[in-house]
Amino acid sequence: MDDRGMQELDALIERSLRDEQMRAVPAGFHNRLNERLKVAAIVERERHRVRYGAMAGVFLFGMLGITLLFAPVMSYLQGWLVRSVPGGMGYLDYIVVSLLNTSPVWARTSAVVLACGIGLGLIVSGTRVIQMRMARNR
Amino acid sequence: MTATAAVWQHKATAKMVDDSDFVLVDRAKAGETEAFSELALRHERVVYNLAYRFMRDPGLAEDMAQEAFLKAFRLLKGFRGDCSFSTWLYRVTTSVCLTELNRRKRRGEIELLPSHAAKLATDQPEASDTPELIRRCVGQLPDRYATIVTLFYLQEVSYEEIAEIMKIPMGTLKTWMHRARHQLRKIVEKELKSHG
Repeated sequence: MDDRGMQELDALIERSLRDEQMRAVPAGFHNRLNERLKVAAIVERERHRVRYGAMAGVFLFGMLGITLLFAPVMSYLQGWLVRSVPGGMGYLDYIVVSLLNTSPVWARTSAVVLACGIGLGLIVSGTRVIQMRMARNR
Repeated sequence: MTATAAVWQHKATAKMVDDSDFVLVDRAKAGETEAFSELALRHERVVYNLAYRFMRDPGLAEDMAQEAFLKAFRLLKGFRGDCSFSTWLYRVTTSVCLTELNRRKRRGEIELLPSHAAKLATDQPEASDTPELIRRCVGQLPDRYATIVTLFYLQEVSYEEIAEIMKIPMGTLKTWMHRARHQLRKIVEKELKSHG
């Protein structure tokens, strides 16, 4: 194709693409979309609920698994504590006194971390429950 | 009113729309479906036309436009607001349309040659309609070129916005546009010859 022919073709392409009119949106498009949006919103809400439920389940079963896994270790430790710390004290006393005997600083830190952990866990789970209730009520 | 004043007024209006878009986006993110519905109402015309220009079929275009809005609704929490809502929405629409087109190409559900498509289409414009034939040729371009050409000729989408939608620098956009035009010319030439 010569230069002139190419220029004419370019002009034809340009005109064809540029002159395409904007089409009107089909009647009822918005209503149909609204219906689907309502369903999508419900699906999303359910998905969140299932996700949070699954997360809570994984957390609980994880904790259970860890507890079962470390039970033998704890049992051994208990025996070791009983042997190393004389007296008829309870299990917690054994641990606390034993830790205090070995390192008072570490014992106090552990107690604080444990208390903070429990508190934080309660706050996080409480917040999640409130969020889920709000989402359900919305 | 002078041309400059009109441009400034248009820009100011566009900015106001963008600002209120962000307000609606915030409300939609908080779970208000009505706010998203309002956003959809504002942009449905351009989104539908964008989908039509990719699919070249009114029914499919409606399906794709609806899918694009639903996808945008699901992904809205990930919209950070670093571009305007319309830019983000056109990006989502483009992605939905290209995914569907590629899926159909893989399954052989659509004809790769526009001449075949034009022969088979009954509710479409006439096969002898040269402008329509040329518009269909855009679909034969590689995805990125088809996207920029489609966006470029769609009213209400600026050159800067195309670069933002494609996430490419302006220089790259200009290069792609040049290559796209070159390839399109070859395709159109071939198609016109095959049509006599």
